[in-house]
Amino acid sequence: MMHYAMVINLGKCVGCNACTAACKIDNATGFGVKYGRVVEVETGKFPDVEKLYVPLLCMHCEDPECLKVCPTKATFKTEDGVVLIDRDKCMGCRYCVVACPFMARFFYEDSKRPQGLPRMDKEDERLGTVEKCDLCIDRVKEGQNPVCVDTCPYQARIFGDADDPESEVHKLIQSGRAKTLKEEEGFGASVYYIWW
Amino acid sequence: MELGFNTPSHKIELYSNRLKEWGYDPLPFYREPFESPYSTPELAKKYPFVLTTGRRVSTYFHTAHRNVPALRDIYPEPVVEINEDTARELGISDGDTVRIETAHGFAVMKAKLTQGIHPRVVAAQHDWPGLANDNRLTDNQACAEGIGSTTLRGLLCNIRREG
Repeated sequence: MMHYAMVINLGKCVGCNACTAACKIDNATGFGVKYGRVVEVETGKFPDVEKLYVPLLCMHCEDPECLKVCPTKATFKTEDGVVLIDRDKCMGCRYCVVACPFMARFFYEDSKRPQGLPRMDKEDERLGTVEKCDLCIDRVKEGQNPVCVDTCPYQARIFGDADDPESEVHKLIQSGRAKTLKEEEGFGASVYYIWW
Repeated sequence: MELGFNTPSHKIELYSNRLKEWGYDPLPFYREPFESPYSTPELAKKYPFVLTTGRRVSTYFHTAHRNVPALRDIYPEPVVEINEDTARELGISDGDTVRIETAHGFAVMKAKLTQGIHPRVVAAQHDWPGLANDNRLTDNQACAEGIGSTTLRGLLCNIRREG
């Protein structure tokens, strides 16, 4: 079995947002729509302060909350572990936007149309539906990495098949170094993080 | 072609013979900024915070790329960083539109509250256009002698919520 997974090494992320920019351009997303983004987490009090950059994207959960609330079954999970949206079935009710614990989903409306970007055929298709990170499934099927993985200047992101014992992601997950977010709340996911 | 840097000794000169020739101190030295709570205590009563306009955003390069939609979406607004505790005293919340005033002018930016800055320092981003232009705040006449660089950091300012 194939199970696509991503491991993000937070010790390598400098918060440059190159992944966010690459994602926005590759997917031609509208203003305010970020399938992937980097959040700043600040802890401590001056002068003893630490800052951590955490890249977020759709976690492609094992048991997705978005899938459970979808009344039209537009959200589905593939055998490869990727959570996708069938645009023809999505009616734009946005239950999933609220249900997602990682705020990874966006409703595409007219005001979010990308300005100044070349108009793409799929743009109108998206209007009135919910969109999110699809793990660049078209690229992955062609044997490439998701665009955020290839763009990262520090190779903070590793992508691969978690079920392949030879893959780097498999080894990192098995070693216990890579952990999912909200693990203690029972969220299984396909995106793992290495905290130093 | 000769190897080395374009200096008389072709080395990195911490002790600059050129500066000495021109009659300036050949070694780096510290001097209090033209405006500071110590050099101009009277001015500091009106403008109690130290302003730096050196804050960079890795999304942009100086003034470039601000009109690239994908990049502007990542960093849509000019931001001035201020210590959380200081901001609370001034009644400024995260994301508030604030006015930064110096003896030379004013600029308008969005406040970002952080613990990662000294309570008396305000860090404004540079190279935004219009009212957010940080060049409205600086003093073009205050130059380092010999070198000529202007005071882009180490100015006195006041900051308050706009409107």
